[in-house]
Amino acid sequence: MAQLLPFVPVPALLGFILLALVPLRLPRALVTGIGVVSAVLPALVMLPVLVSCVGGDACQAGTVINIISINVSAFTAEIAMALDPVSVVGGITVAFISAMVLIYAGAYMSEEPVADLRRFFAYMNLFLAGMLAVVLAADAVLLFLGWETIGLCSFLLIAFYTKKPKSLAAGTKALVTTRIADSLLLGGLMLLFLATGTTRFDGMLAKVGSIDSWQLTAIAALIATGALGKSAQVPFHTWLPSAMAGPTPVSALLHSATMVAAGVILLVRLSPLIAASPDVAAVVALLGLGTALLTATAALIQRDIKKLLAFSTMSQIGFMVLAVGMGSPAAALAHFAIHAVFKSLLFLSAGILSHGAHGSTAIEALRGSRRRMPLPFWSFAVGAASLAGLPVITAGWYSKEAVLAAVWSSGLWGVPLWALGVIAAVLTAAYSFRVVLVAASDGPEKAPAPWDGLAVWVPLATLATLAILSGFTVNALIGFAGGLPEHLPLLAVLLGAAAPLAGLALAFQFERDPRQLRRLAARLRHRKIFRADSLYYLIFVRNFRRTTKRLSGPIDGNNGAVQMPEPPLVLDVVRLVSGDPIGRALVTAAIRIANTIVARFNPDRIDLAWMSFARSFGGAWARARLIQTGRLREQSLGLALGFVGLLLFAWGTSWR
Amino acid sequence: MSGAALTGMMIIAAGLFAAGLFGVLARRGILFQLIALEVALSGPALAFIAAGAYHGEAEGQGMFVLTLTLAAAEVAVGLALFLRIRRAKGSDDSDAVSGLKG
Repeated sequence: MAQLLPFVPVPALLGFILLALVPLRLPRALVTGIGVVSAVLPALVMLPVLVSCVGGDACQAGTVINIISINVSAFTAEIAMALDPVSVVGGITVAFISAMVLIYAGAYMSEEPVADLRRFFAYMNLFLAGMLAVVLAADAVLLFLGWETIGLCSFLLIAFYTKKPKSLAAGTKALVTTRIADSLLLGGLMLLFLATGTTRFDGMLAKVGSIDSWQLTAIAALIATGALGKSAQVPFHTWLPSAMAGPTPVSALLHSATMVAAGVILLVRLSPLIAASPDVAAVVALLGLGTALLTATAALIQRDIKKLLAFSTMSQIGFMVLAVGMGSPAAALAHFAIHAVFKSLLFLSAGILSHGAHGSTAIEALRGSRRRMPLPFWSFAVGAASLAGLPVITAGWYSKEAVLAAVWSSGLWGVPLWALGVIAAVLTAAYSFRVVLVAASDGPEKAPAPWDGLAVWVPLATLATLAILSGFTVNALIGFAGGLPEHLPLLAVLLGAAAPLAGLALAFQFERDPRQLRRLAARLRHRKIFRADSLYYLIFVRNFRRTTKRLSGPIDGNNGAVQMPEPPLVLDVVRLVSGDPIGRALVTAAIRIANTIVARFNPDRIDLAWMSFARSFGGAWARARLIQTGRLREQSLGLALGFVGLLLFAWGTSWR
Repeated sequence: MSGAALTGMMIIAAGLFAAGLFGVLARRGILFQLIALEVALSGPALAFIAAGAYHGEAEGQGMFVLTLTLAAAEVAVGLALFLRIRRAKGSDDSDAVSGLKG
């Protein structure tokens, strides 16, 4: 069954190729069909792999399926996929969640007034294929390939509504921010490759012990930065909230199982490397915890439900990063799987709820949703309860508790960090229940969602059931991923269980007296830490723009830009035949090239500097011709002086 | 011939050449410049003779004969040019002939 593994991303990739390249007009139904089926198939291919993995020992030990080896005499780049707990848990989560989201997207996008449905499904399938490659990869090459693919696809999907400048800007922001982190990751992976001499992760991790400690710190820091950038952790946290500009299924996929989760998957896979460098591990844990706290606070004061969910994603990913930093990747993996379930559930339900509110994503617009659309409301409530981690009955509690337990039992610093984590959990419960309480209150009757049916209810019902029931699998999951379930003192367990309830009480308080929340929001909104976005703009973006403007010179074309008058394209048969058609075509083509390609580069600063350098030769020549008086005496003096100079030179160089 | 005598001869040769060069640079009359050129040429010629005598070999005298014929040819061409210039410009001022001015 292990041989099936390389074929998991293949259907999604085929779906992308089919949708992107087939030169026929496909009807909308067929496009949707291809898009959905090719996204469901990976989950079906993944199932037998999962079953065989749970049964056998080969998977526990970690099997590597070689796909292709590129032999370059000095070294061998092996592209391979791993069959081990990390890849199996990650793979089934990604494949399953994506299948659910794509089924939903089939219904959602069919009602969306977009002309190019094909583009949407093509991107989604490529996105899925890239993410599966990241999760299943056993070598740095395949991982980086998938990593870049999802980076590109996230840009294309966030900026899907190309007519809206805002969504284009959001896509660019996401691309640039993650690209900065990606380049650091590439540097880290290359250094790791140079230090170990192999591209395979098992070989790399086996040699971690023999790397110099300073080198190891640099590698671990670079790789961790790359992962944090993809996962939108502080200080890269600004891109995710603006990424809401894409369609709702995109957000559901981006936030749950793909993209932001890729960083966590990478950290989990390379956790021995992070653990081998305690400084980096500590910084990673602190950044994760800081993100969890900061973004949970930010989520509390949001007015837009999609933004609130975006901040909650960062907060939950922060918990996972914290677990990795604390040396418990198994707990991070478990929280990743559970989080993917309830976060996609939240986004999918929120999509329906906001459609019911005439497309408004403001939280206030959701009032009365319970009456209007009971089923999406209750599925949202289940997702929110799981996000908040209501004790015992929801899956979110078990996985969050596993993370907190890993923090508690990690040593001296564990307890204060654990306390901060519990505060973040209280805030989580507060913001997630606030939305539920607003949606549960009475409100105006509005039109129900225009789309309905099995394609919506199946994903919602499945995900809601899982968000409740999969809690019982958390301990099994952790054990499967090679971690040991931690046992906490009773007090810690009780406090952890009290946190969501406290958050619930806080949410009630805020719902009963909204002025309190508004005051809090007004106070927080102007704190510097919540305005990292504008600070980044001031420091990086504006200066970068200034520099490019300075380098590219004046924009108006009248500074030396020669725009030749373009002759009209010769299509007139009479004019074509008369005269000199070939010569004419050549001249037209030349002018066209000059105007389109050459003129574009014409007046920029580098060019101008170069030209002034050339012009200085003219000046030098004008000065040099003054020496030429034409008088015999002066010329012979010059001759004599030159000769003396040559003699002196010869004498000087032959001096001993 | 001793080394000291050779050094003396070389100094005289350099002085002859320098005097000739000074003549070329300082005088404006073309005829005088030609005469100064002859003086300047005699400096190297003396150096050839002296070096040939010091080494006891015939090449120095051979080179002197060559220099002599060269000087004769140069004077022939120079005097012909001088006559043409006088006829064309009406003066023997070398500064008046500045057709090569840049």
